[in-house]
Amino acid sequence: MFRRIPRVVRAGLVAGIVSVYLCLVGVVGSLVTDVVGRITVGRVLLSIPAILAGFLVARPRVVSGEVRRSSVRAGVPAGAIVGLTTGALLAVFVGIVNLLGVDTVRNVFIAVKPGLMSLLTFGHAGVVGSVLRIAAEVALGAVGGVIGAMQDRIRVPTVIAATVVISLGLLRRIVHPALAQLGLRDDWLFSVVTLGLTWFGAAAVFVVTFVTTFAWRANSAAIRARTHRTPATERGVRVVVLAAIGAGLIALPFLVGSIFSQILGTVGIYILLGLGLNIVVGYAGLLDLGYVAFFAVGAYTTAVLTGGSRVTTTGYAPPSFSLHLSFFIAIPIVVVVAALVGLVIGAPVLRLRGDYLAIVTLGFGEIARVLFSSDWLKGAFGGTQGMTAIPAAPIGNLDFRNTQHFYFLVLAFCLIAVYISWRLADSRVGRAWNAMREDEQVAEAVGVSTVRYKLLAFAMGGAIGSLGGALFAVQVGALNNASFMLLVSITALAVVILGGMGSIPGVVVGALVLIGIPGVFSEFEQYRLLLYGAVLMAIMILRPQGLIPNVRRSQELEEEDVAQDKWAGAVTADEHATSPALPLGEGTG
Amino acid sequence: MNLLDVQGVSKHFGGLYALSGLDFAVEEGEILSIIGPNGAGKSTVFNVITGLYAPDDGDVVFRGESIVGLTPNQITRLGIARTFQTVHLFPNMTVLENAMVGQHCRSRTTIFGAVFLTPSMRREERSIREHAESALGFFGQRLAGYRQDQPAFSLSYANRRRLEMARALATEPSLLLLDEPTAGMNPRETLELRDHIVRMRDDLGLTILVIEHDMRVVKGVSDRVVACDYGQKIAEGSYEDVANDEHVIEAYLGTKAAG
Ligand SMILES: Nc1ncnc2c1ncn2[C@@H]1O[C@H](COP(=O)(O)OP(=O)(O)OP(=O)(O)O)[C@@H](O)[C@H]1O
Ligand SMILES: [Mg+2]
Repeated sequence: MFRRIPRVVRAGLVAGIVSVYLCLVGVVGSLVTDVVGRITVGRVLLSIPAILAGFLVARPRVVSGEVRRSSVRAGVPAGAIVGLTTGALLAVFVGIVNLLGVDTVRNVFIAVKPGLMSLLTFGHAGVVGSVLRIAAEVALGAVGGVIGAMQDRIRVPTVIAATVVISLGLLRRIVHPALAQLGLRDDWLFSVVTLGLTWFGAAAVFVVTFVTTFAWRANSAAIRARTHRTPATERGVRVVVLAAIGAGLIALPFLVGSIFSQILGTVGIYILLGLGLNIVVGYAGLLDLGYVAFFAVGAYTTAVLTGGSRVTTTGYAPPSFSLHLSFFIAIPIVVVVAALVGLVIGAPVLRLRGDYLAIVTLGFGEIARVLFSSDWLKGAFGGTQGMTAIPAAPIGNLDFRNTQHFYFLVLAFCLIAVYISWRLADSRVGRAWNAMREDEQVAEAVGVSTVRYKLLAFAMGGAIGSLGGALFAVQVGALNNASFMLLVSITALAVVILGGMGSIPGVVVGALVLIGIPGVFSEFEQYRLLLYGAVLMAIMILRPQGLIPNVRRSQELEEEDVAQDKWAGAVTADEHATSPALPLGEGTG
Repeated sequence: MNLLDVQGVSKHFGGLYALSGLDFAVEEGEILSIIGPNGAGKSTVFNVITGLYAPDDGDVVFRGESIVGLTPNQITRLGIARTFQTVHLFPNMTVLENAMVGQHCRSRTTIFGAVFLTPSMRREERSIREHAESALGFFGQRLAGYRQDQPAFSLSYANRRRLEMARALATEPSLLLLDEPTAGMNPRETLELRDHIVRMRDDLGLTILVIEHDMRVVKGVSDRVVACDYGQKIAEGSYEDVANDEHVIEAYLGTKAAG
């Protein structure tokens, strides 16, 4: 049925449903930060479905092997029809809400408030408001249509420039202090009243980005063709790029200020968790849903070893076992403990695969959380109250409770973990893990001790994950079981899946997207899980191998193989002719 | 002394006796073919020898010592390598990596060595690569050059079979078990492979136990032939003897051969 509706209308309906959904979950009404002028984040989000749908119907598509490109003249009406449909759906939504009364609807959908309705109808009641909304959606759809019908060389810079403008509008809290650090004024860019971009600033940024991208895209190929690349210059380029990245990483916390340094610290902790889990899941193919166990082990062991206190009803008390080691002396012990826990968790699940392994490890994760917060181990780990006053691991002037200093601690640990992951991937150990992931039984038959390498994967993955836990203990200085929920395991797994199983840059990007974005755009914080769900669904549909897959060049080689048969020169055709056609040739005669 | 002794091995799955008291021996340096109709238990005996199945009864003796109860990886380390009836590669690893996994049991680098790049680890990694390349090189240009960096899944069917054999060679075995190595190959590839099997013995000094349905290959490679049916040996001897054996003809044709 749905298929019989014209494509344009279908796109409009989907966009309309998405728009209504966005209104109902609250992102439209409650995200009131201004991005540009008086346009709020909510409004930007509300305008995206129509633009995107208009874009999708108008963009070039392949019809029976030919690229069919719409002209702008065809794109605009197509986009407009999309927008009309979207707007009609939104108008129906507004109508229904008005019919039932905002308060009634709000009993179920708490996001439906008078403010949302006024936003949808531009403050006009009745038919006028609905007509205005429809007109707006028609315009948005048409804009999408225009973008879709543009030639690539114009469209790509347009989209990039628009993205940059919107991101910049959301990032004032980072950009403003950073510019201030550099002694630059930005009152032309950010309005001091709305804190969003000024219209002038937005236009300037758009134009500059557009022109730069356009020129870059037009010339980069030509430049690359002209410059002759030798291995030496390649190496030079690589050194310069690495130096730039290094300098950027060092300057970063000072540029973004202390609040965002804290977010970077959390991103780093999840990079560590992701790298550790990547060894277990990505390298060795063991689906572990209880990875939070290692996070908890790392955090609690650090707390106990460095001299954290238990929280009791009367105040603080030292745990039953306590040392006052320096953080850096404690770390090797933490790692060893976590590796041993990895062996303990790995041993009972050696025979389990796939789903069964996932379920059992899920249980282990919960067991760890329950144990650490149990009354039974209250003397050691403080029970549900948890632990506090965990020392901040100072070295010299560096105080790691300071988020900017903590960033460097995290950075150092991440670099170590990246190096270890990278070395392992391309070693005898990494190959054994990969072989096991590909086919456990065959790996065993080829000479890999699967028992040993499974345990090794759990131990190694646990050791790296525990570093994340240790840093977490230092970062927050207090622990309780709320920090070790299943969600940590799920997030770590999402980081690995989003980036691409087995891919180290993938883990970094995954952590930046899943931890960094909700942290930086704090508007979205309450929609973090919605974002996870949406991102993971999009990834599974559009790019199941992950954002930065651990690629292997794939090529069909069958053709070359036919040519290669010439190599078998020793084999002659008449040999075939004389060979007996039936089994048991001569003998049976 | 026999390299491998299969002594009265039985294996049943539920009520089905895949092997019932199978006996045969493989001498050092020979190529022994196992033939028999479908379901005779040929692949099952390979699985028992390589430790994938535990026998219900009987013993498997390699170089004078029982290997029953060892894990497959331990048996591979002792020097018995195999291929599977249906090709089993590590499809997403490159051709070279597949062969390098074969060297796993002949090397010892640990996590420590890999992370700290110890000189012995570098030396070993080089030697692993050289061994793997030479194993691939056994098949001439088939698995050479750029192809070594391709994922295994991108290989043609015949090359997958060759790669599986190269991976087995990379484990530096003394006894190689090939389960229907020519299945699914075209006649030209089959004959090429027949020569390769002979060369594995002559040039590499391997002892080879091969399950094969293609009688041209059996005839071309075998020093001796063992014929099985219903998990028992029904004939043994030279190709001519076995091919003319009336039990064998009966097993294949399903009727009693006319005298
Ligand atoms: N894992 C198993 N579980 C149950 N039955 C099995 C199993 N493996 C083999 N069998 C049965 O044992 C018998 C012998 O099987 P096997 O694979 O050894 O035969 P084969 O001689 O290799 O035959 P083919 O020529 O078809 O490869 C068959 O009847 C098969 O169905
Ligand atoms: Mg078989």
